[in-house]
Amino acid sequence: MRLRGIALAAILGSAGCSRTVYEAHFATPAQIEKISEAGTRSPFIKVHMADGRVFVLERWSIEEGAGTIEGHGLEYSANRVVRGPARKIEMKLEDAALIETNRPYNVDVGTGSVVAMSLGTTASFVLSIMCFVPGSNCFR
Amino acid sequence: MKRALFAFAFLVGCSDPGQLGRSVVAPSDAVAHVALADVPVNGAEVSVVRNDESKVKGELLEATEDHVVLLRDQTLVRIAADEIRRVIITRYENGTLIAILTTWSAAGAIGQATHGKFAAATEPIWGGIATAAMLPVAADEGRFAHVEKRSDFVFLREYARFPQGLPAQYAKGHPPKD
Repeated sequence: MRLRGIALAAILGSAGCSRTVYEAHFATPAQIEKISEAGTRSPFIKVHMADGRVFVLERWSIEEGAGTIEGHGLEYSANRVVRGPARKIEMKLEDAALIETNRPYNVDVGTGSVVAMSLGTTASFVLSIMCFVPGSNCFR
Repeated sequence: MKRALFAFAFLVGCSDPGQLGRSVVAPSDAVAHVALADVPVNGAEVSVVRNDESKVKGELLEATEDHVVLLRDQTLVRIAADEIRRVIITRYENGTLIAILTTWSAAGAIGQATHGKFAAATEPIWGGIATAAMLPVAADEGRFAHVEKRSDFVFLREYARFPQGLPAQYAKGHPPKD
């Protein structure tokens, strides 16, 4: 029972206390050098097309000399319906309307709250056990 | 102790809104591991407050210096910048956490009954802990970013589904069919 409580607190602690937001930098294909520094730390890059489609790439690279961008990723329609499985994608930079780097990071939301509730629950649980031990005077 | 908890909750609850632009470099120790398919491709949920205080909520599709376009119930809503008093951007949601804490709080309150006559003392203590725990989460202003000046409209584009501008096929006022 106590282990279950600890497990619940651990799940809440890991899943409930942080939210992911994205550092993002934007550049047109002509100004691609603007985001080259940010790009070195961004695991994802989005290639926005003029017709509204977007390609989300990981393990990506830009060949400025050849004017191409390649990576492994997904294609989404303008309505954000995914088109096919993840695959190797290569395209000309000039075909893109806008390039966006994405670096996900966690924002802490309520870790202190969950810790406080966990401590309160543990104390309460211990007192409950003591109350049900024969001889306790909780219910007398 | 209880007073200190309330003071903490008050201070956190009155925290500043989240940063507006998305280009601020994130701390290295906070970098998250996200699967490719989980990278968001939609615009942020925003609430546009007009000059007459009426509100429109929806997904931000496009933002320019002159107007914003939202997607609401499969309909495009175009609002001129001159009509806008402010825009509130939802950077992240914490409704699930609030729901979990509320359920947890209620279950804990019921559980105090197992303390017998001591519940008279433990019930208010639990109430204080639960309230102090929920307040900062419920009042977390960091989940929002606010655009209140015309000069800040440039940042709105960073939260749009189409930062490059609305595609031509959306010109009829409805999203096209795939």
